[in-house]
Amino acid sequence: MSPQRPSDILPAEVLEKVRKLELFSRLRVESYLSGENRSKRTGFSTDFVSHRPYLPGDDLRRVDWRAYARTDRFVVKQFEELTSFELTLVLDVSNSMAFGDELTKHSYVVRCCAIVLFLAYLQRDSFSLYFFDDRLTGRTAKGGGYEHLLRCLGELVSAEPSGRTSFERSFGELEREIRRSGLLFVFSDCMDEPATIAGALAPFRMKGTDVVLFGVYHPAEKELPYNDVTRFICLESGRITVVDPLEVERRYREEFIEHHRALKAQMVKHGMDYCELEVSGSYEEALGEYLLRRMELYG
Amino acid sequence: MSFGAQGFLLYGLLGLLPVILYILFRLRRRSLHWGASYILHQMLRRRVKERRWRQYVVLALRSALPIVLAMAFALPFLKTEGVSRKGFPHGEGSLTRVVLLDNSESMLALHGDTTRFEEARRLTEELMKGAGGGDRFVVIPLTGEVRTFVFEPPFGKEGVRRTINSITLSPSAIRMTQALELASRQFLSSVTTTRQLIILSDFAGKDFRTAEALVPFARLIRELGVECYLHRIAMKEDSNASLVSAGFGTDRLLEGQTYNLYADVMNYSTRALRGRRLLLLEKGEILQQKEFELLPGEKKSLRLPVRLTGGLHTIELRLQEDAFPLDNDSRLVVSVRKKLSVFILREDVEREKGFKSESEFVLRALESAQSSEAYRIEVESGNEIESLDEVDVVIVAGVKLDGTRLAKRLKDYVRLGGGLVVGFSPERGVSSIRKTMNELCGVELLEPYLQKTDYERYLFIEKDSAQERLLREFALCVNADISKARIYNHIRLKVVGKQAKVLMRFSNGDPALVMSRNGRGVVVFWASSLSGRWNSLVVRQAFLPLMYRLIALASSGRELPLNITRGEIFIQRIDSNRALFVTTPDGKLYRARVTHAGARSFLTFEETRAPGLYAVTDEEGEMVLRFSVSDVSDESDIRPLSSEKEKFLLESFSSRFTSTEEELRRAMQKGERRVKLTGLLVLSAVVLLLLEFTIVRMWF
Repeated sequence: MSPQRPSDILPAEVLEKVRKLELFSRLRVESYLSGENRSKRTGFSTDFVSHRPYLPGDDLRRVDWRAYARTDRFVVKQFEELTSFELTLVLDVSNSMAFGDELTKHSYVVRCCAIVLFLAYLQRDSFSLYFFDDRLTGRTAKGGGYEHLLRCLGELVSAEPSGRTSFERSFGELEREIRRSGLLFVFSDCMDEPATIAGALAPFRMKGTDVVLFGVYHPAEKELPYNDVTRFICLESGRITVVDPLEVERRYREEFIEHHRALKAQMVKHGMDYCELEVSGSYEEALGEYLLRRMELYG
Repeated sequence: MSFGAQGFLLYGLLGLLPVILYILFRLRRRSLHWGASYILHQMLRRRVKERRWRQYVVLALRSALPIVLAMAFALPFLKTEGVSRKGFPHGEGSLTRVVLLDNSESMLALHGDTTRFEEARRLTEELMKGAGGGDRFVVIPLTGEVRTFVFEPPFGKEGVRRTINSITLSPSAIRMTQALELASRQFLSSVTTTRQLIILSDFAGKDFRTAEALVPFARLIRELGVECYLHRIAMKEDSNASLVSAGFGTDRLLEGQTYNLYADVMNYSTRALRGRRLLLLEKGEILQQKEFELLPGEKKSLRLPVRLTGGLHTIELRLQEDAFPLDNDSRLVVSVRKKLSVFILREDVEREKGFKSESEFVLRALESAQSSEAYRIEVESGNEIESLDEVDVVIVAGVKLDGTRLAKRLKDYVRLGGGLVVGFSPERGVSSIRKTMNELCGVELLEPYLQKTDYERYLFIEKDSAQERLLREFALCVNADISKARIYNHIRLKVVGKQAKVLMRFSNGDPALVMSRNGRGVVVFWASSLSGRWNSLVVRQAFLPLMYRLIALASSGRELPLNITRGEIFIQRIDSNRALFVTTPDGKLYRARVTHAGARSFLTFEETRAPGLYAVTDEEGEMVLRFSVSDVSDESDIRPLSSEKEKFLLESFSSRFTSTEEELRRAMQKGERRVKLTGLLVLSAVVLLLLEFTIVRMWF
């Protein structure tokens, strides 16, 4: 059933917490509306950027009379033009995201995505939502406003994990759909080669999009907390691997850590951001923590 | 390892728990839909699979931990006697230690490279070590002179050694009860804290035939709180073939005749002896050898036929070396004469046919070609004899003796060493010789076996009854089978004289041949006729050999013996008045005593303690004669006690046998030392725990 309001998905206290957060792009973006994001162009705003010599026809209100008093030259102030940004939210709906008991990776990222959408709505930014597995499987068009928010939330709720993962193909498709730079949030369990993942996302970065990849994992996927010999059935391919966890747990954990480290290294290398999200009850805290840190670093 | 609380060991079964859990876990297989297969596969592809052995190591550590803890709680300890290498354990406080030292001749048996006695002496010295103030050590020999050697510290090692070495072997039997009595007195008079009695002996069975007599003293000693130790110096498998005795049956042989030398050997051991050899030597040269086998405890008489030339011979019989060499050889001195003088006394009886007298058969037999060289034969009829001085043997058959002067002359003759062979005369009857035979031979003649001789009925001579050395060949059927002779009748008799001995019997058990010593002489009585009237012996092949032996037997008293037993006085007639000297087998030189009786001189010698060959020499060292002294000791029996006797002894002394020095030390050690291992095991458990923890963190 489609949510009627954001509180249908997110508890009230979470929504309250979300209000304190900000979404912004590290990079200046072009936008049609004037928002709180830096634009590449200078315009009217309260943020002084630089002086330029007075040209006939300039508005005399922009003349910096103090500078004239000091230098006996006529100069004009230039201000940053704040613009709003486009948020593109991409959600991995491959079958591996269905892992988990009470709280699967998918349900977790749905909540995280809801938070992000709500935040974008509050900031009057435009946002769009995409789903992918080995290709793009769903999308909502770019938009803003409450109705659009509800629509996106509805899509979120109704999405079901299925299929295999292919970053390369999926984001290849996405690249053709997103023409303007903005903010790209990707929620995935990253079950692919780190280089492939980073390589798939790098083109967006090169176009000036601020890319943040959220690597989602279940604690059991990290710890491998099993004692019995187990038949591990891959959720995506169905391949069965019989392993004694006691024999391999240390190596597995090392591999897990190495995978995420490599992934982070690749993302940073391409100028993108990477954040690990462990599937737990406090999804808003994990995401909020990241956004707050981002605010502190770049706000 | 031993445990003081063994019940706790059951908790060690908890060590199986990790194994069981491990197996259970491995048996369970769950299925899991997995969301991070990519990482799993990457890991499996890239990383080396953990080797299972690491799991097993951890499993082993986890299993060992409860087991080690359970063992620690079970109060483990190691038993150790902690035997001191320096001297024997001293015990608490002051000490009285009494050693009963067996110095009987059986201790001469070999014990490894030494003898039992040497080993006993060495142990005695060792037992003296470690003495301190207030201690007392006593040594009591078990045989020989009654002596007690008491040592009280401080005493020098050399002094102790000299004293112990002064205790020598003795041929007499042990006096255990007396020794225990002496030991009891020592304990009664001691005030020391610790009291010990140690018996060093081979505990040969012959020494403890009356072990029951020891009980009162053993009880007393135990009540005095004395610790008793019975140390056996013997090997259970010791074997001893003993040359018990040897001889011809006479020291005077006749040249040209074959005599049988009999050597009685006995197996004093618990196992059979096979392939042993008996050697007959003269002047170091082997004349004969005989191989024999003996079962445990078996006694056998080995026969060696010997023919010697005239003169004095010293022959030696020797057995192979064994554990007890003391009884392995015997020496015999024999005198071989060229001729023997035989006087046949007979009475002529008129007969129409047949032989004239009952002694005709004997005469004819001895007059045969072979015998005439060896025997100088004289024949006399009637009751008159001129002189018997040079006669060795008189044969009488069919001559009345009772009430005649002849009987008196014969009595004197026999008393002075003459030999007499008498055959019963059916024609003369009992009354002709009853009284004389009673006096001379110690037999009481009764009535004939059959009142009327029936030639259809007959007895035979029981050859196995012939055990006298000179007659043993008839039991063995060496030359002829004497049992083939038919005995139709014989005179029954009763042996009344103390010196009389039955040499042969008839098949009905009646004495057939009786021998008796009378004075120095020997009388032999044949209970049937020496003619063919009452038996067919006279025409059998065995008759002549029998006559030879009877003559040899009867003549054995003619001269004094050259082979005596230990302790006997050696007496020999000598021809000169020269000073004579006797050299004993152990090298001692004595001057012999010469006594005179009328025209005759006799050498007498009493120091015959040492068995072996004695030499009589004159002042110039010229050999005059030899004689041998044999040992009649039962020390040859070195066999151990029977198990019943052993048990009896051990119960009496509340002790057990030890057989090595180490065992004796251990037995004397008070209690046992225990080394507790609880702390070590707890420490091991802690180490295991730390190890498990570290390894798991490292590997997993």
